[in-house]
Amino acid sequence: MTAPVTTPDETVDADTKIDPDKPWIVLVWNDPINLMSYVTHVLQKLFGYNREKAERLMLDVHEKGRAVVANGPREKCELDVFRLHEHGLWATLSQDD
Amino acid sequence: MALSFRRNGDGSFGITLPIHDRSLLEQLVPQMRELITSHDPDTWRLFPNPYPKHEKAADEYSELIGNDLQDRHLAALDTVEKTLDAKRLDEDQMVSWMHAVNHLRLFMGTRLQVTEDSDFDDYNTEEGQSMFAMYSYLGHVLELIVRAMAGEDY
Repeated sequence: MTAPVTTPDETVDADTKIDPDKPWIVLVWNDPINLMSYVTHVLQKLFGYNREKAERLMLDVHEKGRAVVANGPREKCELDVFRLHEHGLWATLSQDD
Repeated sequence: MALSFRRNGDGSFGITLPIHDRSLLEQLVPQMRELITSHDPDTWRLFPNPYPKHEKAADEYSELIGNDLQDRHLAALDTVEKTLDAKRLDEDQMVSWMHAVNHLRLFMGTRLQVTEDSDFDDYNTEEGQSMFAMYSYLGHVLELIVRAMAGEDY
């Protein structure tokens, strides 16, 4: 059995430092609700990945619990996250993998 | 006639929505709007925290986007409501249908606390069984939409 829906990391550390020189990554987290076919479709549509790459990322999310789907400057990553949230995917931004 | 979505040659989508499917969506869409606008806790999956480790950044992001995400979610519901009797949808309208159906699944799956192994027998109240049946049905609808968008007709 997989765990029911919970937040990925409950520990909020307000002191976590943001390093302005470090690149950002966009993470998508596994959840028991989104269909595998849907996640693949969204990754192809939003990032222009071919089906093979989108499926590999989707399987990483499914099997490893999360995957890095994009990276870059903070503003670009925030826009990516917004679009992923618009599509109902569970996305966060981070500076560490 | 069974429920179906088909990609047309001109990039639009043909839709066949049997009366039972239509009336279910007609009931669910306004309920979903109410759940979103009243900030029902079980709609949190539609509004994930993008910065779980940075409280200040999360606040700044939240201020930056304001109601934009909620407005996008509500706009998708509006589009479905306005096109329930359409025989043809343009691509943007089809995407709105896809989003709205997924919003409903995210809410129901959260309320039902589903796991990847959940099935009908896990629920022993009439309300739970009824919602799980709708959740499964909406998964089928979403699968059909995704296939049509990928250009595969079923």
